[in-house]
This record gives sequence, C-alpha cells and structure tokens, in this order.
Amino acid sequence: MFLKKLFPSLPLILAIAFTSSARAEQPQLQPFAPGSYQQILANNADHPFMLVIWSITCSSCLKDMELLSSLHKENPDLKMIMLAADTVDDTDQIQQILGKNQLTGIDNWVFADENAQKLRFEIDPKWYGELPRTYFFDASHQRTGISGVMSRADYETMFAKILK
Amino acid sequence: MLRPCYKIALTFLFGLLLASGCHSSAKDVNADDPAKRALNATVSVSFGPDGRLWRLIPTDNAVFVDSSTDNGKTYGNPVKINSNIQKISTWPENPPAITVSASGRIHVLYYADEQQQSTSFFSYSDDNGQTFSKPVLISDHADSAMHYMDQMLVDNNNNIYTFWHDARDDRHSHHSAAGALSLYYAVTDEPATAEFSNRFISGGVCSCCRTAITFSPGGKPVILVRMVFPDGTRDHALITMTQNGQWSKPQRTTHDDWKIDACPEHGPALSIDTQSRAHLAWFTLGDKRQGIYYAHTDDLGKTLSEPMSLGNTGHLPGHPDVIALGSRVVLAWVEFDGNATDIVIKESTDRGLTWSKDRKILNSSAKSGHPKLVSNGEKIFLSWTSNDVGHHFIEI
Repeated sequence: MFLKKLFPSLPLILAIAFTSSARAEQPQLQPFAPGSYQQILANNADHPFMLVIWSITCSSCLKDMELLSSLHKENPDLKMIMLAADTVDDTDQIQQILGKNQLTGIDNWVFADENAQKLRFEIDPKWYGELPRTYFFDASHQRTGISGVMSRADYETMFAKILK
Repeated sequence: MLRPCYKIALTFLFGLLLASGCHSSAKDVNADDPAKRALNATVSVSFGPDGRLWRLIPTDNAVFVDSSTDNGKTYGNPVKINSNIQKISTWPENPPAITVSASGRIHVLYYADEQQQSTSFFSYSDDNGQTFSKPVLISDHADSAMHYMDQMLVDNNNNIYTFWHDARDDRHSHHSAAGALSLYYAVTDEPATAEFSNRFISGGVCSCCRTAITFSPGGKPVILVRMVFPDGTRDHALITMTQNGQWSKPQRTTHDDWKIDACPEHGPALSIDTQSRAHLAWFTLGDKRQGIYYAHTDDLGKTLSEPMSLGNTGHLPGHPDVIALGSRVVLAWVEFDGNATDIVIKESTDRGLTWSKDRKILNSSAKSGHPKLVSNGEKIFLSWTSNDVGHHFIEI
C-alpha cells in the first residue's frame, strides 16, 4: 500500500516502461488493466484493426496461431493486436508461444488485473469469456466480435469488410 | 535496445512491485484461515457421515484440509497434505476434489505440476484428518498426458471413484481438431495399495469444461458432460454406469446446437433426486438458446423438460450449480454487473416444476470462484470463495 503513496502514477510509469521495452528484441507484453481497452481504441483512432484475445491454456487458440501468423505476414497493412487472457505470471509461456509463431513484432498485451471478469466486461459486456475471441474494427471502430476458431476465408471476409 | 540507466530504473520498479506484492499479501493473510489465500478462489467442501464439514484449500505450493463442527462458522487447525513443495494449479473451472466415505475416511485429489507438466495427486486420511498419506499419482500416463478436471465419489461400500479429463488419446496434443479429449476413471476400495487401474469412459469430451458426476439412487455414477460431437457441436450428454459396471454410450441430452471450436470453460451441473429424476443446469451459446438453463429428465436424458432460462441475461449469468434434496431443488449461479459478482439462487419445492423468484444472497467485487451447493442430508448449503472475504458457507 505504501507503494501507491510513493508512486501514485506507477501504473503510468509501468505502462511507459513496458511500451518502451517492446522495442527490445524479446517480445514484451503490455499490462492490460482497467482503461487499457479505451487506450487501444485511442491509439488506433481512425484506423481499422483486429484484436485477438487468446490464452496459453486454450487449445483452440493455440491451433489458430499458425494461421494468424501467416495472415499477419500477408496483410502488413492490417494492424493486429493480441491480448493473452492469462496473468503476468504466465509471461514466459506467452512469450514462448508468440515467439514460436513469429507474432512478437505486433502489439501484445496480457491481462493484468486480479479480477479478469472486470477486464472482459470492459471489452464487451456481452462476452462470457469463451476463447479465442476476435474483434474486427473498421476505421470508425464499428466492431464485430466472433468467438471460436475461424477459417482463412472467414478472416478474409472480415478483413475485406473492415478495410473497405 | 534499452539504455542501462533505464534498465536499472526498471529493475528498481519491479523490485518495488515485488516488495509491494509481499507486503500486501503478508498484511492480508489471516494465518488462522488458509481459505483467505486460496489459490484462484477454489475452496472445495464435503460433509462427513457425522455432519462435520471438511474443506480442501489449495494455495500456491501446498494444499490444506480443515474441518468445522458448526457448519462453517469456525474451523479447526488446517493440516497440510503435501510435505514436499508442489506447484499447485487450480482455477474455478478446475477445483480440487474432496470426499468423505461413510466410514469417515477422507480423500483428496488435486492438480499440480511436478516433474511432468500437469497431473493430479491423491491422498487420504484414516485418522479423522490428523494425518494424510503421501500424495500419489493416479494416472498411469502422468509423464506424458494431462490429468485434470478432477472429480471423486465414494459409494456406501467404500469404493472410491476418481474421474478426470485425460489427454493421452489426443495424439496431436495442441493440434487437436476441436479441443476434445477423453474422460477416464479409476476405482478402488483399498487406497493403501495405490493401485488405480486407469479406464476409459468416453472420447470427444470438451477439454476445458468441468464434468458433473453424481450417484444414481442405485449407487452407480452418472455423468453429465459437454461433448464435442463429430460435427463440432458442443452440447451435453449423460453417461451412466450400468449395474454390471459398464458405461452407456453418451446419450445426447441438450440440443442447443452450439457449434464452435472454442474453449468455453463453462461446464454443466447435475443432481439426481431419490426418485431418479436428474436435474440439470448448463450454459450454451447455441443457435437455439443462449445463456444458462435448467431442465430435468426422468429417463436419463432421452427426453428433457422444457429448458428454463436463468438469471438476468444482461448480467452474464453463468456457472450454475444445482442440488436436489427430497422434493427441494436449489439452483445457484453468478451474475456480473460490471463491478461486482452476485450469487443468485432460485428454489423449487416440487421437484423442479415451479420455482421461486431469483434471490441475490452474496456479493463481491473481488475475484471469485464458482458457487457450489452441498447437502448434509438435511439442509442445503452454498459454498463460495471470493478473494476479499475468503470462503463463504451459508445455509440456503
């Protein structure tokens, strides 16, 4: 508790630290806390993007990684953001999986609040937490949320929709 | 690259973070009550034959058992099960299991990482919980296949049934078609021999959803499980053990048509009354229904009463549990309004035909587990864990 008194802006400092360290070679994870969702929207104002929410314990998600990796390479203009619905304690495993699938060069986040339900609700009050969960945002940030593994054709249909 | 001074600053900040973590946990932990530091809000409970309430409490590196003779108002000193440090792994959908036999033997089964990646350990006590046996493996594939989602039942003849989700048949491991694996079990009446012959029940089981298991009035296990049917539909089936010990083929019981390749982490609940009516509660986001539902079946799932939608659908009602005691049936589930989690209950006094209004009985804005309903044969209780208060145990 003394920490908060000493450093009232600690979350901000940490966020900056994490963001800066993302430039290092090792993939860095930004802590996704209350407010982070709005921050992502603000950072990507007027731009379409895709937000992929996944977990190291979600077998369907892991199966999806290879396709995500190739879609990322084939569509350099489309911003892809990934959010691991795990905990900061799982950082090593998250980084390992991202590294293996060459998904380290993009914005990567990890849940960083004790109550994950609050974070999920902030993203989408109708989402029960099933994974993977993928959101496609057009330039005006109208979004479509899809649960479950998608086919290449599904992705391409959604890309066409948000990039037009 | 980071400049060295920046690195030093970062190290300092992380040091402070660690210090603050230790500081706050030391402050928060009530040394007398390990439930205050239960791992991921997963305390499990079971009544003994004498009405004593037993708790199994996982923490980061150890699991503890304690007990109460006043229905959860006070607890005796906790006893540690594992003398060696183990990295315990539990989450609300995968809590540890505790059950007490009619003779008073206490059994526990918990999921931990030790050498192999992920498996479960069994231990028991024959001296009323004063000492516990050295934890042993149940899986004979523990070095290569996950063993989790533990369930345990003990029948009146002291046969101990352990059930779990097992990845041994999933040859492609992380590349499985649909996140499906197998349901296994082992049964023994002599835990001291530590012989748990592993037996297959069914494949095509949704890996991340808890399975619900209880006894029929005839004393045989009945299982309600979220299946991954060959077309990818994740609806539920009942599987029953016949009197000669064989398992029935899964009988598809819910028909919501939820076709998805995803991890819902949202398994069903099951309770069977003395007249063999099976009461079911489950979650779906199918084409036909979305949300949580209650229904009952008198013919082991071949026909089902009209599913009843539960809860405020604007508040993500989820993780339902159900219990039947005589003609009473109680349902409990969670709702979340954006800030706090409510435990909501609903009750029937006519075996699930008519129901009371929803009633909110507990609330927390902290991280919390799933509600669990238990009975001592006379009364029904709710067990729920939240990180702010710890373990709640209240009569319904």
